[in-house]
Amino acid sequence: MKNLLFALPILVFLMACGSDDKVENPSLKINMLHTVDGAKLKMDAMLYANDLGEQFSVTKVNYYLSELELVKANGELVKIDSMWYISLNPQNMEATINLQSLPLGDYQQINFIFGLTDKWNDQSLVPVDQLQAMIWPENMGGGLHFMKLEGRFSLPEAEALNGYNTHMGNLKMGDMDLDHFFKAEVPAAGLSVGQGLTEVNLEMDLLKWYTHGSTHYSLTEFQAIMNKPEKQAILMENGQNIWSFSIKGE
Amino acid sequence: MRRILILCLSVVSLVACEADEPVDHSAATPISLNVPGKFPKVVIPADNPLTAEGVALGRRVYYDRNLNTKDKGRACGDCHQQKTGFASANEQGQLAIMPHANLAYDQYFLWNGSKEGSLEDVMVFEIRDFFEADLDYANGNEEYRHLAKLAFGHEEISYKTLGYALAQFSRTQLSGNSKFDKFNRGEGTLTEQEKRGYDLFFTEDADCFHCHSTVLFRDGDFHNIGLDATFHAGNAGRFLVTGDSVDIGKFKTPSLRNVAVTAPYMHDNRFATLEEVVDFYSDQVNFTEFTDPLMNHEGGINMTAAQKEDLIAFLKTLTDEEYLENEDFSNPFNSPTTDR
Repeated sequence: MKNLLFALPILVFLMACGSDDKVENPSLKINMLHTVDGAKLKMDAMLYANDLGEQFSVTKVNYYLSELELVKANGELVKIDSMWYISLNPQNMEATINLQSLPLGDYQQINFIFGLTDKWNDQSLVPVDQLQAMIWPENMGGGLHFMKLEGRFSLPEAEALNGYNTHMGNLKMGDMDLDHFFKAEVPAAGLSVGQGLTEVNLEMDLLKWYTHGSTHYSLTEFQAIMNKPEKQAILMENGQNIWSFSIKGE
Repeated sequence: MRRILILCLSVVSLVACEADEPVDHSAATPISLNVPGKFPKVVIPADNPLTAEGVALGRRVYYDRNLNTKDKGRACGDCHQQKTGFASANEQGQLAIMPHANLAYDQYFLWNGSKEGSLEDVMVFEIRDFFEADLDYANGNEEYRHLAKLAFGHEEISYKTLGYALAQFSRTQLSGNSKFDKFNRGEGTLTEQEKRGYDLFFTEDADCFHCHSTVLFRDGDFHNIGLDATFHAGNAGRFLVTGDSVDIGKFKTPSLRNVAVTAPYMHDNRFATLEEVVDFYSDQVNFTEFTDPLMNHEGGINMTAAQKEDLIAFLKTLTDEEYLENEDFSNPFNSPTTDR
């Protein structure tokens, strides 16, 4: 009898969510994909190497995006004023951003803030578990980390392991009052939002955080950098070039 | 039409729940939680609202040695002693007794997180499985039946009754009025030495805050901090729960609330003093393939003697004397007005 009582609500719920709930409004699902030098990310394994010969793994990828814009073919902006938290774990590498009720049409570019503008960089906006993972200390400016990218690495010809922890966030400490969020502009060729769901991929190549043109940075330079503005500046510059867009299935 | 269907859904759900266990909080006295300033909001589940009678029952359960059928003569409060931050010292090598403070925010319990869920879930586990509570004793106790009737609307006492009451009491155990808290709220100051320790703690110089984060001084996560260079069943930690090699040697981050009074330290009580703990982080970290990348370097963070003293001075500001002496959390059986 109890089983029946539990089954009935599910049945009723399914009936309630019948045909009139079918997704018809123009929606965009952005799959956040993560690669290392083009290869699909596999966390917690010493699978990767940079051009300096350093072997490394990735153990943590947490970051925020905010204030996303879709740029129409005619230049018109569709703004989605919100924040999104991406947190990968080896058991679930899926991360998505879902946008509802978008204007129909063709779009040429996706813009967003990597990190959080002052409006969104507010500890009270996030649940406790997220706060515990991403809080940025008050004596360094408060708010939240914009990114935590962590892993282990070994130097060329060396067996000893080390850790890198590339953390970004605003730095307001002593004489420093520095914003470390930045705007990324990603060309989105072929993006057309019609009735129903459109699905696309936005890919971040993690190795490119440490690469700028022909310059390759050692992971030793990205340990404990929260109060190192010169390292934050490198990341802000490199972070412009880590993204690529594709239509899902193409 | 859809409204009718949703109404049907709600009614059917309620019927299913009521058939499971009738609960009625209407005779109980609702109370609000006194959450310290700058603390995150406490989520109170709808099926276990905070009431004076529920908390009172939970407090009795916490301290009542007669409830324990497995190990007569011991209650929660025997190992979790108020004067030592609701912890106590046991032998080196044994799993240390974790302090009880601010459990309202926890999702994982025990050092390896083998118990996961709400405070209600874990307290029912404690009552039913850990203590194998003596329901005959509880149901034969007039005070228990009286409080249960008021708190939950029924005199019949089950494991769930006791567990939910214990969860209510635990939810009130909030520690947030230490010297640090007063400084953090702008109500007090730290000494120069304590402030230097604060800056070490909350920057990557000592890098304590990434794990001992927020005003809770813990991150709800598990870490291998490089205590050991080799691993076996005794120090495998979270791995014993998940079976995932990435969890080898990981243990739950303990809160540093009241840390100056909760010695010994680490999951296995290996360090007797805060000085030993700080020495470890400074100079004795093992960087293995399982050590958390936050630990950065083989050996440790290499602090000077003065920095170590500063850091320990700051850690001592986390002692919340009001919490350690709050009569609301004390043993009701020691009260001259309460019969045992």
